[in-house]
Formats: sequence, C-alpha cells, structure tokens
Amino acid sequence: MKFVCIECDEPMTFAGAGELNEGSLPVSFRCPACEWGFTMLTNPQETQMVRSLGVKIGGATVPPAPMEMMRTFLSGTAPHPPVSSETTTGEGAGKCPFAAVVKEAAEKP
Amino acid sequence: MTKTYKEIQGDGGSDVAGQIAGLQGRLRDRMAAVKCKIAVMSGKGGVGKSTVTANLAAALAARGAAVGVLDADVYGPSLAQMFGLRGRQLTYDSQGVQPPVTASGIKVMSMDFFLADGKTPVVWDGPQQEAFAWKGMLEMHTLREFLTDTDWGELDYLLIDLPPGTSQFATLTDLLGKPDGTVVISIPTAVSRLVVQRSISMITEVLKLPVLGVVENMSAYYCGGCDSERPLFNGPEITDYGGTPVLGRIPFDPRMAEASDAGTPFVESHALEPPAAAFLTLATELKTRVSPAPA
Repeated sequence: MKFVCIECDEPMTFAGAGELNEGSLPVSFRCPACEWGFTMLTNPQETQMVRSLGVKIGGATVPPAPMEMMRTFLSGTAPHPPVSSETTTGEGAGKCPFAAVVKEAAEKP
Repeated sequence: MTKTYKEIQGDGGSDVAGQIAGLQGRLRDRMAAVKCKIAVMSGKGGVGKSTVTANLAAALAARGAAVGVLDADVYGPSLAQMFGLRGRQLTYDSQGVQPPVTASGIKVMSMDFFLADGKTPVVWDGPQQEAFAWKGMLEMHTLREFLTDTDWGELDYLLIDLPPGTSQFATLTDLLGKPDGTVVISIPTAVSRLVVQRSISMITEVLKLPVLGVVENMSAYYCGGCDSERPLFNGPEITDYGGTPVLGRIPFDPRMAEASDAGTPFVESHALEPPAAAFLTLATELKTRVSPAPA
C-alpha cells in the first residue's frame, strides 16, 4: 500500500504510529511537500493477516527467531527456554507487525 | 494524481516482497539437505495415516536411512505420542529448533511440542470474528516454519504426515513445489476408495503432480495368536486406484495400536511379526521408487 498526496503528487511518508487498540493501529503519514497529513486506522483482520504472513511492517531489522511467528500467535504454549542470543528476536519483532514502525517513531527526535 | 503504484519506489520501508523472498530462500536452503521429501496424505480421515507414517519411518530407519518426520496435522498432532516423545522440551540454537530424536534416530517435529499439556488445544491469538480471513495464512506459515526452522540436518527421507483432505497437500506444494513422492493411504472399503480416488484425481489432474502409489492399511486382520490373516473389510482386493498402483498392504494388528499408545512404532517393538514385515517391504518398495541421490 502506498499513499500519494493529491495536491502535490508526492508519496506520503511515515509520520508516526499510536498504540495498538483492539487489533487496530493508528499510523500517520504526511506529505513531505505540503505537510498535509492523515492517519490510517488499520483494520484488525488485515492487521492480523499481515502478521500471519510472517513479515513485519516497517521492515525486518533482524532475522526472525525459530518458529517465531507460530509461537507468537499460539495460546497456551509449553514452557520453552529463551532463544539463544544468536537468534534473539529484535526489538522490532514483537507481537505487533507494526512494532518496527512504532520503534522507529519513538526513536525520532 | 499522475503517479502510479509502480512509479513510487519501495513500499514505505517494509519491503514485504523482499521479506517474503527471504522466507522462501531460507526454506529452500533448509530443504536442500533433505534428499527425498515424501508427502503422506489421504482424502479420507481415520485410515491410519499417522500410524503408517510412524511405521514407515521406522522401517526406512531400519533399512539404514536417515529419516525425519514432520507432523503436519497442526490441529490434531499425534506423532509425538506415537514416537514416545511427548513432553520433550525443545532446544533452540543458531541452526534453528533441534527436533526430538527417537532411539532409532528418527527426528520428529510436531505442534505437540509447543502445547502446554495434553488438554491444550491449538488456539490462535487474534480477532476471532471473521477469523477465516487470516487462519489459512497462519496455517500455511506454521507449516513453513516447521519445515524451515527445524534443524533437520541431512536426511535421506523427510516424511510429511498431512491431515485428512487435500487442502494442506496443496499448501505443501505451494511451499515446496513438487514433493519427491506422494503416498496416499486408504483402507479397503468402498467409501474410502471413493474418497481416496477423488483426492488422487485432485493431485494428478488438478495439481498435475504424480502420486507414487496407495498404501492400503487394515487390508486384513492379523491374529497374533494363530498367526494368520483374516478378512477385516469386505472390499475386493484391487491392484490400483484408477491407474495409481497399490504399493503395499498392511494388515491390522491390535498390538499396532498398543505400540502407538506406548510410544514405540510397531516395526520396532514387534520387528519379527508379519505386519512389521509388511512395513519393511513397503519401505523397500519406496526406496526402489524414490532413492536418495548419491552425495
């Protein structure tokens, strides 16, 4: 999905994301030329579908940990030792596929 | 607005296409060390797919092959029990998840290892309303992770035990491409043969993939007490399913169920009994038809 400013015909750029709420995440974009902006409220089902793809919105910063996607979604899992440091899930690879976006937003000055 | 989708470089930084290509690449790399990937499936439930898989794996291992078994029945995993591996704690390292290994060296991966106990069902976290929109995707990627993230090492045979029906077989071929062999399990009843014939047609005519053959399970009743076989079902003996050959016939022996419950494949616990010999013959037949390429 890509967004283009109607007035400027410029691709909108990511401006920030809010808290995940009942499966929906507010993600804001702005036009770099005129600064007009909007917030997209993700559909919980679509958000889940993206999560189910095993990809991360905002980009994967580290390789996924073994069975990461399945273990993330499975309720009532058996206790397992933590994944070794070589494969530890990155900060941007938590339960939410938008985590990397959120992390990036939080780190912005 | 004049700009089109393709004119805008990137996808906002996610590189979803690149991430998916990376996942596919990791699967390819892992499977490169597996010489023969064999799908075990049936259109019909209750015909003993998992029992046949477990014993075929044991028979192949007894013939000297390096064997792995993937329990692809995500919602009804049974192979951890049949191999006596339930409750094994998985270990993770840089190579992936280390699969539990049986005494005879068979590597096993199953959803069972991820569940808290014997009562815990497989339940996915996520919006339950209209869950059909994402569950299929999740099931496919769970299968992908089982294949990719298990440290199978070098295997001669990876047997993939699929749940009843053909949908998960289609998912598997989406992920892997053409398996090195597909074995279809049936029992000698008219109902089973009807359903199984349909699933074979699905594979050969719709998916355009070959089927090695059919294994007719419970082809007779083997009485250990009098060392003889008696009819179990009334279906006449047939040699093929619309041109797909019957690779083997496995007589039913109540001790086979006991062996599964006890966690040791019948082939190992009753190696000299005729039903075990039928599995060993089947393994030889399979090795003849799908032989690991020389290194």
